[in-house]
Amino acid sequence: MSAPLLHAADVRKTFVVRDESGRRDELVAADGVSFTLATGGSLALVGESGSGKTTIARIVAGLETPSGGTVELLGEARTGGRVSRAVRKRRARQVQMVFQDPYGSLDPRQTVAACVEEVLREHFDGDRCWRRERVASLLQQVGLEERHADQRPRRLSGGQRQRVAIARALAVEPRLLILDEAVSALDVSVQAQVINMLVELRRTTGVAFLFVSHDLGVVRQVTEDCLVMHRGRVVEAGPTADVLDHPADAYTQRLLSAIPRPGWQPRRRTAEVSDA
Amino acid sequence: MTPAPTPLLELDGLRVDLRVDGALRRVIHDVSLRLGVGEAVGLVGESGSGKSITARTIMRLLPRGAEVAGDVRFGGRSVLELGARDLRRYRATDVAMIYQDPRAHLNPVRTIGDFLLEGPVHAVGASRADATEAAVALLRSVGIPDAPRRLRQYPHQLSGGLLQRVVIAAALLAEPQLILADEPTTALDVTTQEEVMAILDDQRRKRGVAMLFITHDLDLAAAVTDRLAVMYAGTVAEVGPAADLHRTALHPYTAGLLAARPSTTRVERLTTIPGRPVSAFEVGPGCVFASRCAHVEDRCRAERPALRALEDHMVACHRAEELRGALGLPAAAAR
Amino acid sequence: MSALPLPPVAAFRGRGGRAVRSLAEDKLLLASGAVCVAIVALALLGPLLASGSPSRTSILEANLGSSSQHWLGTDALGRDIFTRLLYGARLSLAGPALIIAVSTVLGTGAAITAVWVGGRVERVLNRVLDVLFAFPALLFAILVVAILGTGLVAPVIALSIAYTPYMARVVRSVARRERSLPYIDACQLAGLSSWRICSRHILPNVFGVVRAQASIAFGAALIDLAAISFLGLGVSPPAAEWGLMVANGSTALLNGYPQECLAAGACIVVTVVAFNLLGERLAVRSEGRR
Repeated sequence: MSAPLLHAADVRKTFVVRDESGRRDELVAADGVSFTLATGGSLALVGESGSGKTTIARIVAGLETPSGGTVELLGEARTGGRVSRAVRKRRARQVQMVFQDPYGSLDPRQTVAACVEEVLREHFDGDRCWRRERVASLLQQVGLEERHADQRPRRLSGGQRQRVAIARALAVEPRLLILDEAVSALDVSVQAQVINMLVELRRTTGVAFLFVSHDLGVVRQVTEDCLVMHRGRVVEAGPTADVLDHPADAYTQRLLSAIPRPGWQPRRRTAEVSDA
Repeated sequence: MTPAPTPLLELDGLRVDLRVDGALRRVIHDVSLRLGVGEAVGLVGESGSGKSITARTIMRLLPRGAEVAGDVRFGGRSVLELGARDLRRYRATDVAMIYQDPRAHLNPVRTIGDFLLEGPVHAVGASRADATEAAVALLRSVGIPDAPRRLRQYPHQLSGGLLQRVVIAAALLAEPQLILADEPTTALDVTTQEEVMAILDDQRRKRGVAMLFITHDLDLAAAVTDRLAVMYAGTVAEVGPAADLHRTALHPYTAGLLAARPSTTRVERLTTIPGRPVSAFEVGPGCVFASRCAHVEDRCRAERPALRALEDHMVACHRAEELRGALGLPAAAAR
Repeated sequence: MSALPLPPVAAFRGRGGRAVRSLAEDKLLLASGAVCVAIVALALLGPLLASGSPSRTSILEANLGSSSQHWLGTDALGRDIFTRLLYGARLSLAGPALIIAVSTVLGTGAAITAVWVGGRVERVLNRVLDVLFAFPALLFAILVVAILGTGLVAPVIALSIAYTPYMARVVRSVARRERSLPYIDACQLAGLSSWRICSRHILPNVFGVVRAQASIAFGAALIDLAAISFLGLGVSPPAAEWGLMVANGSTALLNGYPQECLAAGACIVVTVVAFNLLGERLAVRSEGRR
């Protein structure tokens, strides 16, 4: 295993919430989460809603500040709060993120080309001509055609929008790409295309994936290692194949058994309450 | 698999156009489907397939300006021609609908009790005490133990899974003959989905209620229905027995959908269907799937195949006989 | 199946149809927009169209009815009402235009800043806006006039401040929604500066709402200024201004000569209704675009 790209140690995140009567309460979104992601590796954060998987992803991205623990990227600790322009740009070159909602992920007023070009202009010195070529090759890399370059998000399907979001993220040539349920909102036939594209992308560019998903089938296709989270804590971790083939934790087993597949029947866990 | 002599629900050559920016836009080309008494049928399709519009047409809940041709018959009567009073009764007692997002369909300022008792007390005229008793019994049968307390609570105090169970209870309370479930578990986590589906399946079978189950998840639909109808671009591509459609699919689209599902047990390059799902108004005169089909030939582009019987399936593909065994279906073994 | 003759088409009267942009509604937008443009054009070109001077008095021609010489008649001092309306339009529209320009810039700026920075800055700005909000605009304007004296400047300053929270409140809610969308997160992660994200991404996407709100507020500002003029706290008498004309004409009205009051009042009503309708349609359209 090569040097770790990302190392999280004992990460904790709490949010202050107010209940109906206005009382302050602390909500623990993640607690005691530790993991390591090797350069060029692919790690899944698996769990259901409320598991804390997205919170961890946002902390790694720098969109949230951890309440405790440390996150180190390339040996450098990520600190929250305001940072200088230079630090901001350096971090951008390291980590990029693709979000779940294909409809909110792009500025509705920007064309596809303008969206990718804006990022290029921020980070590279190349001239207009270079940028245009780079946009074209990035779009090609994510499986979009030239004619899409001048279109606005409204004209694109969900799958095409996610491809644009991936192209924008790749524009800075990041070391780590965080994919937060990036294929969950897509139709099955389109999802398969994007999954194949992602697998190919990692093979050719060597970018590492932090892959947040609730879908174990997708996780199996895209990742090498996985972390199963439940209510903010890691319940099981290991190589994806081992965890999915021989789940040790009861929750992981429950998660696997709930996935519809040929011959599967839904089983009731709560008994029917008989009349008293 | 011969349909019952008098089907409970019959869609006959259904065609729907919606008004978009003043112009009519086709959303359903031609949908014919029969549902027997007590039978469960899954209506499976991706976005734009017209599955939800089909459900809304059955309930006569289409937006203003929509035009419908063909017929929807319930118990032999045309639903499209029902007068206001009969339509109200049809919606209140014959068919119950379960939606994807229960929170959006429950009034947030009224209690669960108000919601559950509204139908029986106001539409049917039961006494409040009797209706409450019935509601409590039903909540218990869908696995909600402290029912009397729940009746006093508001929707925001219940989790999504619990709320969907309340909606199922409300659907059963009217003692309908048909439940229309439109993606009832799509917004839920997979473990909650299993629970809710088990309850819905169990209660439906016990009471002999028919169900039209609308979903994008082929495996989920197969687990709780007798037959599956696969929809694409406003048409029915294939209808087949739910239990073994994953092995016996005859339509290239069904086979493509099956192969595109990522497996939890194998790593493989997924077989994809090129392009994106198209909507009904985007297709040419030929087969609606022609633009994405790997087995397309000239005839497919020119002439739209009708849904016809083949073995124990109904399939809308010119080449169904030739392609049998050539669709590359995943092995029969569990994924 | 499709070759068979189809049964008669059943049309549904759908319940609760969503507000879709139909042609009829767009016609309303076009019509109200055209009226607004015409009003502004008349205000700008008015002095070129008018034959005489707005201040030429003639005791002999006082309180005349409409005629070929005086289209809308004359006021108590024998001044031509039509000419005064045309000249008055500039003053009547310039005031609200200034108020809206200032309050839109201030309100939008404050709202986007509050939403972007968040935390304490947002809370403080919200409180400031709440306090301003609680102050009746007209009362505030009268107070400022009491301090700075009558004329156009004092009420314009006062109403600009009073209208800022109205603009800010609306912009804040849409800016907050925009801020929560993942594309803004993506912009941050791409290393774009706060200034660029706010000016190039958030502002253009809330602009539709800003424009609609500005149009509606314009009508309200026009009424407020007219009211101030009517009370004699705005522009001073010899000048031509619609609100002032209503005040002037009220004496003649009681003597049985309603023409000045009616004409000036009609100008105010038509302008306010046109800008309100325009704003409403713009709001619907910017909502429909999402």
